[in-house]
Amino acid sequence: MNLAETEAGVAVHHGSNGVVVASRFHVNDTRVHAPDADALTTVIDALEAWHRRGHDGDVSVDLTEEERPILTASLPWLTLNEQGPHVVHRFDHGAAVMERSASFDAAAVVVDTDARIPVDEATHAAMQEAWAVELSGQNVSQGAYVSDQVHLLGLEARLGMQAQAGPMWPPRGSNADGSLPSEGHALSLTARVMSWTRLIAAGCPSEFSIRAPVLGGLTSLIVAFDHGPSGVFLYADGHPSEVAIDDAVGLVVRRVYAQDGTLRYGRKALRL
Amino acid sequence: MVDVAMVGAGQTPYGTHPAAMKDMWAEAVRDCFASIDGDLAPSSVEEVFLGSTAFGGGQLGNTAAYLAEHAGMAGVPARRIENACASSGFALRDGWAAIASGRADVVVVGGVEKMNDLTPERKRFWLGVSGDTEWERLAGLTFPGTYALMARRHMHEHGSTHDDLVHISVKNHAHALDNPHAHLRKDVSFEKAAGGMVIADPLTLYDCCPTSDGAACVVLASADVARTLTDTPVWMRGSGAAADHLALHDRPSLTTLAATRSAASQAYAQSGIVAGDLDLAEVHDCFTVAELLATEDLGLTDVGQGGRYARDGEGRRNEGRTTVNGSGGLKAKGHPLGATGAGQAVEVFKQLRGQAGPRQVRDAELGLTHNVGGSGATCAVHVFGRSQE
Repeated sequence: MNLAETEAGVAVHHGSNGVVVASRFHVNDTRVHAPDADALTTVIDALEAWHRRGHDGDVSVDLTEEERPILTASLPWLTLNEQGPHVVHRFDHGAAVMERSASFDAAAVVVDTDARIPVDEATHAAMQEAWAVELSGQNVSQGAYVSDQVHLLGLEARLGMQAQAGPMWPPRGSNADGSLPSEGHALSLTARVMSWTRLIAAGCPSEFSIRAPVLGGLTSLIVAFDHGPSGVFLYADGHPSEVAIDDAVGLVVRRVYAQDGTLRYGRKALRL
Repeated sequence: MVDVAMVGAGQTPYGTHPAAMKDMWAEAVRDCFASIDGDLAPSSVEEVFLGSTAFGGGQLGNTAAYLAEHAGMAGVPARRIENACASSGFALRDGWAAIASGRADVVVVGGVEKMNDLTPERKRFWLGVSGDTEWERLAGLTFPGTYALMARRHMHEHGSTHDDLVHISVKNHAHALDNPHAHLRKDVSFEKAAGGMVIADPLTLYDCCPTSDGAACVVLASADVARTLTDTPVWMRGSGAAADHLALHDRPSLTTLAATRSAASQAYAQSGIVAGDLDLAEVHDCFTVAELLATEDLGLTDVGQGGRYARDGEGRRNEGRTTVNGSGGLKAKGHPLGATGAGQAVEVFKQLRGQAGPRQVRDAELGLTHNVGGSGATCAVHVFGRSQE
């Protein structure tokens, strides 16, 4: 199966039985994860690609205890059901959402040469090493301390883009008039660039002090959503080749940083 | 309300200071009290208002009591006021309010920050915790990043250019050459500043202020007491303060600081002046674009004209109507976060008393200080005059 199309940062193939996605990043001919991606974000990429074609409902996904809250917060429309009519297949740097009855051969998945993004072997190895160091229980993040509780309480807004009435995002302790927050809706996963900057590694927050030097700094954007709110997001998987004010971007789930040995995920932006 | 005057002002040099925080503060207090014409001992003040972020966390709790004790004010009620880089601007406002309300007759207001004895990692941590840590910071933004977003948007909306920012940098470096307390006393050419290393595109190294150690202190007194201490008090004619959304993404505009506009309008109304009356303004130029925005938000030029104002050199000392950052500003005088607002008041005190030496603004009658916290979440603006009204 040749994946020639690209969507939201991954190579993709939409078929009659479902969708297959795989990483575009390759070291020589070997598929590897994008700098901010992993097996979980790839599963979310696959489910979002499937959902963009109008699908939703019950899906069976094998998840670890750590992965479950990230996936469910990211995909509020999804119902996890071990007996669901669709199944997620996880494979090497890819994932597929297929009808339960359909056969799927992961070994046959190849990303078309034109869809690949070549990665230097040393850079890829340095990035993986940086993540390993950051995730190590011995590592003490030099970042501002966002506790597990605060992180978990913010997941629906951070990953599911849940806003409160207004719309106001991220949600607050009250509405603008001081009244109790009223439930709103999830923001769209597309927005327009209001401004952007690329920071050198030494200018990045200390959360990113291990990985920013590998990437040569970070690109951040402030974007406006269709119905009012705006937000700031890192650019996903490195730097854009070009970006301009008013460009359209999509928001994908990626690793943000690690604290206390736990990965923290969030939405990052990609040019559409 | 009781009229309030500054009767003394002093500071340490800004830069990489060899002394500890407590010793810098004591030095600023000594310098301040030495400037008072009459007799006044630190122990006889009624309250201490100290601005500091307590950068590094070495004495995060009870910072003010700790520092008051080290400067001959043990037992005087003291409190730390923290509003990021606007900490001592707000300390100034609280000190002014204590006297204006009649609660006190003589108070000390100041600020101190020790920044350059930290490891680079710890420094980056502390520099980033005054922004929106849960959302902006995890999107990669430190303050160079947030101000870079504002700069690019201003360029997009109003046609300003990076060259306009370079003019601000060159001007403030030139002003600092005449300031013995300045952190960066070096002549910077337009070409050098224009070719600086990019820090947060489009901002370069020459668009960013340094991180400085330093302390500053002023003594405020009620009108009656002020007249017993000096013949040349500097009057606090107006005080304004405001807050805005902490994060940039919550604000309706990236090219104006609403907190500056609100604080300035309060200070102007109270003092009965307009921006065009000002002879000098010490504005919060943590980044060159912050000065560009401040000249618009304070009303020194029209909206969208900050770039032209900089390009035409209107803020140069004794050239345009109002000298902007005649001390060198944060860009070149330096930026010891919690001390910056008080340090601006020290400069205005000297200017309005004609004691600024080679950097003296001619016939200075009215001066302003503008002190911003973070990317504009807080702002304090004060208007000072040689005359009481």
